[in-house]
Amino acid sequence: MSVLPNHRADPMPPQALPDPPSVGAALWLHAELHLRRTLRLKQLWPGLLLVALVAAAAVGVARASAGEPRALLAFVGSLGVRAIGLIALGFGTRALRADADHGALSAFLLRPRAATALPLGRFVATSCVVAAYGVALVAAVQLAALGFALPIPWGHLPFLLVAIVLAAAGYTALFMLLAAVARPAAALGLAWLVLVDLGLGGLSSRIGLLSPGPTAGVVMGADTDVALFSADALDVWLNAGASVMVTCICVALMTARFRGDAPE
Amino acid sequence: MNDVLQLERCTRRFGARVALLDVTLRLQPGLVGLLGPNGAGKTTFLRLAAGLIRPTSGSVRWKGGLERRHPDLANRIAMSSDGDQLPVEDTPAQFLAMLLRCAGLGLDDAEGRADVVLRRLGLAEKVDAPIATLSRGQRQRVKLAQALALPADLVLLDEPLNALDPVWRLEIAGLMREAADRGACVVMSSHILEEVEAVSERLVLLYRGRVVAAGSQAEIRALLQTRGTAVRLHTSDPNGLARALLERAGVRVLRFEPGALIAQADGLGGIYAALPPAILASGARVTEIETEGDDLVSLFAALGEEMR
Repeated sequence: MSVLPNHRADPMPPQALPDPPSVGAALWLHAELHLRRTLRLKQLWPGLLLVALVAAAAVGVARASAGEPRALLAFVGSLGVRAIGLIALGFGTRALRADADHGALSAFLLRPRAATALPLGRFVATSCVVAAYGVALVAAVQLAALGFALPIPWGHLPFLLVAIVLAAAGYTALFMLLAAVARPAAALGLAWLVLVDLGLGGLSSRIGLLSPGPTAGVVMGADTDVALFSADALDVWLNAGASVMVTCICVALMTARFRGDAPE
Repeated sequence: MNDVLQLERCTRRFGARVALLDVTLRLQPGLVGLLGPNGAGKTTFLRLAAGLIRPTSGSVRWKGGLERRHPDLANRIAMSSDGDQLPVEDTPAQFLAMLLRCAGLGLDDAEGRADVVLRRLGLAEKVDAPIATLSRGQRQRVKLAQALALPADLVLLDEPLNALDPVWRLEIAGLMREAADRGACVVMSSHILEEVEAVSERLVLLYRGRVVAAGSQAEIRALLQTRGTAVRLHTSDPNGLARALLERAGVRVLRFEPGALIAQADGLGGIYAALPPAILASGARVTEIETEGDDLVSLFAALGEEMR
């Protein structure tokens, strides 16, 4: 009893217990807080470096294609979407694993509504960041095209932007789900990119439908001459729909995971 | 009806490993010490009590029977985890304000409250320094700050006095008492008996995932007193010394070893009272006296065996 005698500390200043935020407000708050924590140069530079590398490669492709814009588009459709996958791998796994590895996730999850609002809010914030990288990547490639006096395919840009958003959301949801269920999420995500996207997805279009990469690649590579509501555009719609479905399933599973045991 | 936390036959498994086994416990407002050796299941118990994990079987209820996600439990449970568990790139002010905003405070209120609480915990000069630059003791205080920042009804503190210097041990113990005085149930875990005894009114002893004893300090002390202490006596005449010991009331000879015997008496120090007259009466030469199982782990193990 002598180790800690009956000591009276200065009292903690009083504070009334606040009313919990609504689900919507909590979701917005978690998204905003995560966005603030993500937008730090220390975390942003690997992605920026990747964008710069892709842009440099685009310069090379533009030179080699000698005035053929389709070669540049094909390049964006293949390598660009892989770059988005890698960027999403970094941000998506970090969105949950950084706090889980530190053990700070528990502190957040004890707050009201956090079991739903935290994964959804962080998913929204991370998707926005990854999509912003995708847009930066396309912009860099188009600038490269301008530099080599290649005609910019304006009609194709909406496809590119839709594909970027789909790929960003899909990959982010997939990698956040991996981070919610497994500690080596980054390794598993990399294995997914190599095995499913590059390997099996390249061999079978049906397997490709399982992953955001190949589906977004199809949307990116859509022919600009095809009318969106024609029979020829079915493949584009099918792949876009598959990407949305994969995203929704991953987000639902991730949220369900948070409603069970807190990830460690 | 005043129960803040109710565990009914809770078992928690992680794969094949059983972390908690058939734990039934009710905790009321006050200071509760959760005591057990490393690996006893203290952290699992606290995470279960916080609602961060669910029991594999059994049930956990809060505040008279509410389920974890009941709206009335919002902001009523706080926890400080064990280990160095903080986002190292944030500052204490950022981290705490973030958590307080998630609890429902507005931006200004959250920042103001974070500042007040961090100053109260002696971190006035470190509020804007990255957590990575803080010492272990300062990090521990940041963790405690987030648990004590709001007046929760159930405050779960995993090894809260680790890494703190003596002055801050007193301060934190004082803040824990203050929380208990306003009606909270404050549970602190530790593997150091004296530390828990000094702070807590009620003790819960965990060993290998089971509650081996629970009650007031006086009840636990009484329980310990009923356990006899065993000693190993290295002697030239084990048989003669055994005969002399067995003539004393309450003394048992448990077994013989080459050149030694193991004896036990009722009560915590009973054997030490019986030894001198028995040695004198037998004329045996005793070269060494070793206390058997005097450490806390042995005590828990013995209580665990008794439960079986």
